[in-house]
Amino acid sequence: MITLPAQASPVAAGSLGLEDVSAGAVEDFPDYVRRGGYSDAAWNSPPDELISVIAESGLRGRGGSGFPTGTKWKSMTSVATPPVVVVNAAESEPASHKDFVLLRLRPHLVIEGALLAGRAIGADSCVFYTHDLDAKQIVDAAWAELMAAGAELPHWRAVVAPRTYVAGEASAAVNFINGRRAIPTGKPPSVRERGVDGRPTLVQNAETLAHVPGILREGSDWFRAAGTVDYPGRLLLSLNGGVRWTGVFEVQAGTPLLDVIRDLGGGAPGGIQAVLPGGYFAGWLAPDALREGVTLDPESLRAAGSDLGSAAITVIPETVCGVWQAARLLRFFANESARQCGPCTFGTAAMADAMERIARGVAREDDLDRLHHYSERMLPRRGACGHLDGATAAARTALRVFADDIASHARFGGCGRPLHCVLPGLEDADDRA
Amino acid sequence: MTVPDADKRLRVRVDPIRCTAFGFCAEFCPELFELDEWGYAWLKTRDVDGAAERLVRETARLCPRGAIAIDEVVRGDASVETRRPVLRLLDISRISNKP
Repeated sequence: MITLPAQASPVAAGSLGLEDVSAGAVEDFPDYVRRGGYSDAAWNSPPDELISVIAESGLRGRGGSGFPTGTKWKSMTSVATPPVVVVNAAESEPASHKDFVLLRLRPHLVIEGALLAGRAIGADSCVFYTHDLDAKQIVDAAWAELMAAGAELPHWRAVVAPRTYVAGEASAAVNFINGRRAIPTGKPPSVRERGVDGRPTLVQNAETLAHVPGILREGSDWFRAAGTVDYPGRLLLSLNGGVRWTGVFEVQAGTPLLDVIRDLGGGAPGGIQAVLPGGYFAGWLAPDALREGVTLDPESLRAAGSDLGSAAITVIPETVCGVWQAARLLRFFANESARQCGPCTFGTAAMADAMERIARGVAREDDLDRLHHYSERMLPRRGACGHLDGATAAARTALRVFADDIASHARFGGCGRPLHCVLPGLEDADDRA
Repeated sequence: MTVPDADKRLRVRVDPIRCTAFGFCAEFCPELFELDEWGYAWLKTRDVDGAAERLVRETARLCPRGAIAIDEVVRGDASVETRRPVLRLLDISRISNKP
């Protein structure tokens, strides 16, 4: 006779359960309920208990900044007017695909997370914010299923924003929902104080919300069984660049980055020259850090000079010029600047110009000094949003990671490798298929 | 003249969206404001000693764009930067002839 373990969890600790969904199909409402969704356990507990379970679980935002979700929710409970929940599924990172994959497979997981967040903080409306018309149609259809099932639901709206980089920022999202341009505004006031329709607003990344139903159903210990002490649970990562298999994968936080590239990516046939581990704003990582065992959590990556960001990993092979990747990345920041703040408008362009001249072997005498000056002293923390800080991190870390290449560009006018950009979304025009 | 509160700290912020590089701040209070190479206000430090309150407030009032904001830092606020030096401006004679 076989004895089953007394309390077998249906899915691995902290998992979003994406692998069990049949490929190519959107999980519908009956399927989601069959797999434990919209269970009474979470929906019958009082709001303050929801918040304390989320706080105990140690869940941190998966959109880039890694802010503790429980703390964010707690700060929303003291507000006077009913707050608004914004599901931020605007994946502005060209290298990130995780939110879209999540919504394509399990839209109800995100919706239930948003509803539970709304219940916890007492919100009466919910806005879904995305760049992608497909994502909007999927969640609208899922919402219609919920309504047809007779659920008592808050006010719902799904909006599609222009596909720009800064549009994913919280204040830009709120501005667009309020009928203005999708560009950030300065803080204070933060969206927490004055957001959608002037009301307090909780802006939360789609993946962060997708972790919420599992935590409230299985408990905070279940979530903490995976990941690290400071960054518990699992996370979705997007793997791009010079690996055999690109795609979106779910791993435990704290997984060695080299294992991710070797086991999930099937290795890097062109070698590893450098890695962008956290999307475009988190900075470059040297291959030495991989060999020293850097892991996928903010603490380890920060110690190595980069950050986890939104876990959009891009591997740069040895076969292309690294300085050119750095230059194209800085050009991306210059092109995507909202052109509101002077230091960002001119600073991002000046950094891109200098790095491009270095890459092309036509650097001016002071270009390297200027890049150090801009990225280390003059520009950090001078923008209204994080865009300029992302650009300075990209420049600052590139100067360190590609230091040898920059030296040979200065001496010989190049490194002998083609100026061929492999960063997703930034491929040089003649390379596009 | 009132005795300046020794423990008072001010935090100066430049709204980068409002700042359009008039440069009056660096002209009037070069101890605190510098201009970057495009002419935008660049703070040398953000925490200022209470003794310089009049000078800093006058500078903020002069900004044609109203881009300079001054907050009083509550004593014991953990977010006050201790790494960077707090600017002490003892020479406030330049604005003493103003009402």
